Amino acid sequence: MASQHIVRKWILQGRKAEYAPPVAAQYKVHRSVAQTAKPVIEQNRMHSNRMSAAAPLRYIISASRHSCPRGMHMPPLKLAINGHTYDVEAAPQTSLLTVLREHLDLTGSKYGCGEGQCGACTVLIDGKAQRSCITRVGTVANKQITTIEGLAQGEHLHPVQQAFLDAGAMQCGYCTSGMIMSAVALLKQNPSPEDGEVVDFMDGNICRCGTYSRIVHAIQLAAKAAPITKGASR
Amino acid sequence: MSDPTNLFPALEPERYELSASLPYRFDLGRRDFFRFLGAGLLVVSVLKPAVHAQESGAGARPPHDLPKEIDAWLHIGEGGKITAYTGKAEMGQNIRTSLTQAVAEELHVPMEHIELVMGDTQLTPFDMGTFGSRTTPTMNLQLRRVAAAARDTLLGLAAAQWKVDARGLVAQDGKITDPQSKRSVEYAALTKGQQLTQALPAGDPLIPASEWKIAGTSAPKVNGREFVTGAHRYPSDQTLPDMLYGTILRPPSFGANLVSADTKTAEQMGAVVVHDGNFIGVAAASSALASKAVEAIRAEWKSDPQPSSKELFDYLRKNTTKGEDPTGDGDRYDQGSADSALVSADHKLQQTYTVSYIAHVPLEPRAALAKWDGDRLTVWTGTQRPFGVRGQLAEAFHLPEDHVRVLMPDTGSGYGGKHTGETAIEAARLARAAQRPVKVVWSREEEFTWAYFRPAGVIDVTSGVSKDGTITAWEFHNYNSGSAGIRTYYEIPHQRIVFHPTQSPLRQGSYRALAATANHFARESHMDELAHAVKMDPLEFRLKNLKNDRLRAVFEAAAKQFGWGKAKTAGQGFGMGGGYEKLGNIATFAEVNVDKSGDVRVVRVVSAFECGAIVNPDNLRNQIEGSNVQGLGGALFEAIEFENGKILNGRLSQYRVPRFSDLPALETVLLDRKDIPSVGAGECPMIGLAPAIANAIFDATGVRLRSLPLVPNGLKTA
Repeated sequence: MASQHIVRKWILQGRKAEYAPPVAAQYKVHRSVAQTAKPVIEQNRMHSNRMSAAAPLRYIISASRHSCPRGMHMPPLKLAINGHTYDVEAAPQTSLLTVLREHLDLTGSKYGCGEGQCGACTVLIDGKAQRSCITRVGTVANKQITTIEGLAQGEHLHPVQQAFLDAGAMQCGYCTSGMIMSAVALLKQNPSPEDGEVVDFMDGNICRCGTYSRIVHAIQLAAKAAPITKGASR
Repeated sequence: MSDPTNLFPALEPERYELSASLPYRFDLGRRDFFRFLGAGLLVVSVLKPAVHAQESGAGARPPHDLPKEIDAWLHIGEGGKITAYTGKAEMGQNIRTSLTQAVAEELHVPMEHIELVMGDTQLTPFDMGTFGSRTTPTMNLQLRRVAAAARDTLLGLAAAQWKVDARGLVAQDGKITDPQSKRSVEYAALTKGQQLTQALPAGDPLIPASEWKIAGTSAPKVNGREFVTGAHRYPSDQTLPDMLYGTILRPPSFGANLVSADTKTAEQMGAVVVHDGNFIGVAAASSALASKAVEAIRAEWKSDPQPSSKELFDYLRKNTTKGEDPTGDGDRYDQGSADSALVSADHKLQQTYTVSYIAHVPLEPRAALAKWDGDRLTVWTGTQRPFGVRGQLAEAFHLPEDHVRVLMPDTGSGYGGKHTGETAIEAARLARAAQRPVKVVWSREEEFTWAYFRPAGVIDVTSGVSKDGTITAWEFHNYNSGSAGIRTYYEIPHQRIVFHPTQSPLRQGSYRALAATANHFARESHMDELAHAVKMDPLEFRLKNLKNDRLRAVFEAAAKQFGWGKAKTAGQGFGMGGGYEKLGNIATFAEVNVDKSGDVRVVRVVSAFECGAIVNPDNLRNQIEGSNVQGLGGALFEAIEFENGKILNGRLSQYRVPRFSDLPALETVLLDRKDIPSVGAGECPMIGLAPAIANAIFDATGVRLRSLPLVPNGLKTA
């Protein structure tokens, strides 16, 4: 599973390179991050003594320099994100959003307001939609966290992701990750919501471009396309 | 009124567009081009051949150099890869899709075969910026022209290879086919080993809109999958190895000056601290540490008293400035004799309308990642003006422009609010001190406070109308909000229209549709008041005074869809507003419901829009729906409150923007005029909404509201 994860990342990078212009303009940043991140992961895996192929992937993101005051070393937090386990060294009061974005390079969850008002940072914690910008990372250790990066199964999009594409339910797309995560949570607890129930549930998510009617439509498309049974894990 | 473009000349960016003034430099020769793109076919579109001729008049240009005034280019590599380059920026208007459609249409290839490189000052031609709804009328056309020229060149290559007449050959699906001999050859095979340059001949024929196969269809967002999977990297998502996070120490109020600062503690925390004039910022290994370090700086500031939102409109009237007049006669327009016509009018009406400052609230705040290589600077940032920001960086750091590269990854919206390069300069300043890459992402509070606002304004309208409902006189004075959309499209013999620039208590700049929102609010509200004064139906009154066929068509289409004239129930009200802006025509009809507590709900909005030949119907609907939803905020409840140099409601918990629960039923009628060139749609659809709602509230309650936002606290306390 460990190698699978790395391979998947690598394939994605490969595809990016294929689409990049010959002079490698806009993807230069992205790629160089991945290139430097990779040896770190390899190195930490060796130190983690969990080299067996059957073992779940664990890698330590060295975060002491990120968020601990000098001289203090806290025991790493164990985070279960998108089916992988991460040991993260971060102060427990650090927001989950910061850990996702800065420590783990999971940038699909977005910063929009920092006070739980816009929903751009929404992730699932034990299946429930939560605002990661106001969730302290210390409170979610050992809980199942799903981010936008964990929804698709390889090339196969989650029905809600597909519905957003089919309904053209975005403009700039910055709210889209949070909208999709909230919608997944909604359909989990209410597989066939009325429009009014969609509006009530989604009211904490802001789309500044104003694509709300399309998002309601997308959620209804997803509900019809693949009825999601209550309490199902995904 | 056959060609409205002649009557409404104010299409130049007005004062609040913050347009670029920096000189353009393009110093790649033809050979450099192929070195950097690879062999193949290169087609460039020459923007201003006349200017080019003048510049090269001295004969200094080597024969292989490309002209300087290029606004688009397209390359077909020897592997068949098609890349089009434009300096325009994508921030949610979906021009990456609509421009790709344009290229695909003319080049006869599937959209998936085309890559569009946008908004990179090193790779794309100079572009003044992405604003003013200019992409569709200009860049779409230019890219179609280069694609058409590329296609014709390929046809010529095949014809030469087969020794046949090019006119008998067909370009289709990335191949040239000879229907006679059934031979075919792929574009890639034709460009292999070639280094061909084609500068665009003027007036090459384009495929007419009536024959479009790819353009004119609802193609989905080209890279939509990246957005639904979270894979797309916005400016704020960019990272580099060894990158630091930057945070800026903000003054306690606008215009405050730094007296002293103690940065020792911050430095002891391991942060890089930069104190340079009024600028204090830190860079640290994490955003948390950067925030802590900034908090540890003891700074003393000195500030002067400043006006507050309570006295805003008095302030604007009393502080007019002469100002520059960048829009020519757009700032003052006189026709006939307004004074005497007002005196002799059967009915005279004088009213004042106001609009507040509002914030863009792009969901992605300003962000920049800066990196130095010696004296060369590269910045990834979210801006509508990559070349303008390059100029700002060059100026701030005393660099030649060709030492600065600005890249603009598709960004999390702008709405006119991302014309400036504050974060780029801040990140670059910190990165220079830290000697490492630095990323600065503004907090929401910073975005609310240190960006800029849509200008507030006061508008005085005085009008005269005869008993039969003919408007005879029109005097219109706008203080501060701007001159976009200031001219009336109604037929009025005597007019005086003046824009009065004033000092602004807050930093102000472009906002989607500029002052057209304020000016249409005043004009279309006033039209409603006049209709009631002469006891005419508001639609009939407008049409009586309106000759422009395209505007009449959208009013009539929206009225029909809305069911104008139908009976209403208690608390229900119907209203309309519409107009002409950025070459598009809009009519918006609104239905509101006002309950006993004074709560106003917009129940239904019907818009009819016409912007020439439609390039992408679904995206056009998306833009119109989005304009109406975003427009609800400024119409109903958005307003920046400020006092003595401080913003009082600079957070999303304090500043209300439209949410799902504000969503009315949205109906959109598209008038597709295939005989008229396509124009933009990101701004115009917004302008009819506020007056339509105000007029509907009057219809429901008899209360006339003349200030935007209309009901920040409900109708009773407004």
